Amino acid sequence: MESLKIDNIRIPLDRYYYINKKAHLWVKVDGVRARVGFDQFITENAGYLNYLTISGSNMQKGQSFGYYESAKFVSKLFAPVSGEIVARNKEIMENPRKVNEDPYGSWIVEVEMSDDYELQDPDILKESMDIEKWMGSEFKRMADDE
Amino acid sequence: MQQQTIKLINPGTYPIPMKLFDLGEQSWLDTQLIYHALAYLGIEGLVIQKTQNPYICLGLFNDPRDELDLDFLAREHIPFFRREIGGGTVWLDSNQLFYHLIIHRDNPICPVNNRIFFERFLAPVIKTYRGLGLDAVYVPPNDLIVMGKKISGNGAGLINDFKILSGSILFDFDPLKMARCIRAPDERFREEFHGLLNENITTIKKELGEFNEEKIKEMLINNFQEALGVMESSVIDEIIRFKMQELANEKFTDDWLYSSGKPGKGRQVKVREGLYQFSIQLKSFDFSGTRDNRKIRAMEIKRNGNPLEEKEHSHIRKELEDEIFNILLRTA
Repeated sequence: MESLKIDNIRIPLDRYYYINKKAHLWVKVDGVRARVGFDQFITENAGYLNYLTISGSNMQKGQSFGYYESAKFVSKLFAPVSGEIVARNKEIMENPRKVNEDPYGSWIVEVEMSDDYELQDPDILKESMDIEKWMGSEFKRMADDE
Repeated sequence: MQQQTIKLINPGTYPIPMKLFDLGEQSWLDTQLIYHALAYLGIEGLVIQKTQNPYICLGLFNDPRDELDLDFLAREHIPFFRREIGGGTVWLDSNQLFYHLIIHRDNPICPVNNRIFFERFLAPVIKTYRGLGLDAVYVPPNDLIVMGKKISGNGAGLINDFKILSGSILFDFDPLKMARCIRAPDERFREEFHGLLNENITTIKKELGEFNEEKIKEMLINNFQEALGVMESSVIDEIIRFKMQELANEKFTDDWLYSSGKPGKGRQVKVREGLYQFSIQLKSFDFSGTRDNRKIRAMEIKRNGNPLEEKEHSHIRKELEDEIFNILLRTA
């Protein structure tokens, strides 16, 4: 699978990346269905995911659809696309740490998208050049912490 | 031991001064609602306050049915609240000084990395303890320790693009009250938890004897201002009060209080960072003991209420120890 490697972060190019709300979620599309998961930037920098919960059975792009906790810090999950949540990854819900082990193999929810045109929104990236630029800016933000 | 260096950051050029809410004593529920309301209203600030009445506060992923002896709380009229940020279950009362920092995630002084967030914004708290002569150090992810004993627990989270740090300075702490409020599989577990709290938590009173609460509060505020810039003194106005009421209606409901989503597997309580007491059932055995972040320290194994003989104990421990430890890590 073709992928980018930026610093120690691998970014497979077979999926979209949602950059709004600093969500760091990937979206892998198969027809009208899409699987959503965390990118490796989050799993490397947030620490082990201890808890993960999904609320409701629908998600609306940009709105919260759950929470996760890592290192005593709780963050919201923001929906990259709108649609009905048709499946939750039970294994990941029970053991969110698996996301840290394999972020791109660990989907969180599967969604039946209500509007796949959302994938063309500017806060959803697919092109490697855009992804590289965005990830570069994320690394810069991280470097500014020190 | 070499003293840990604390870094107070330069507040830089962020143009808007933060608001300082030095609130004195507030009702127990308001102490929680205020920082949620500020985040939802988009107001950066520091809240310093005490609670008038004792209560239990749960982290977002704590379920009161797993965590608390709800009958005891009801009998003793001790309320509880589930906050929208992380950290564990804590006993809060007027012997603690609460601090809550609400800062926009895009504020240039707000770190992206959450470990650095804790470290950076706990520096003023550490400086306050050190100003009192106590060698407080930060132990990731969220504890402050003095001579191996916890002196401050903290939680954090993101609400509406604002990062929140919430914690307390422990003037004094009664471990018995905390131990009495938790749900325990049996009284022995509760007694052991009480003992562990006694041994592993310290307070300003325990360390210094005499202290001046008002002076400590001033030190804390000054240290936060040194890190974040001079703040604008503020009060709870009508808009904030209205938001607090709105949040009370939403969060003081069974729907919110009992919807943690945390899987319930056995019972585990944190004593301090790196020390947990547990009780768990697996494959017809009851396991109880203590663990740190790397291994199980001590473990008793029972079947039908009876301790196993030494040989079988060693065998079962060898067979199931890793599995138990992994379950405990996931449910901490």
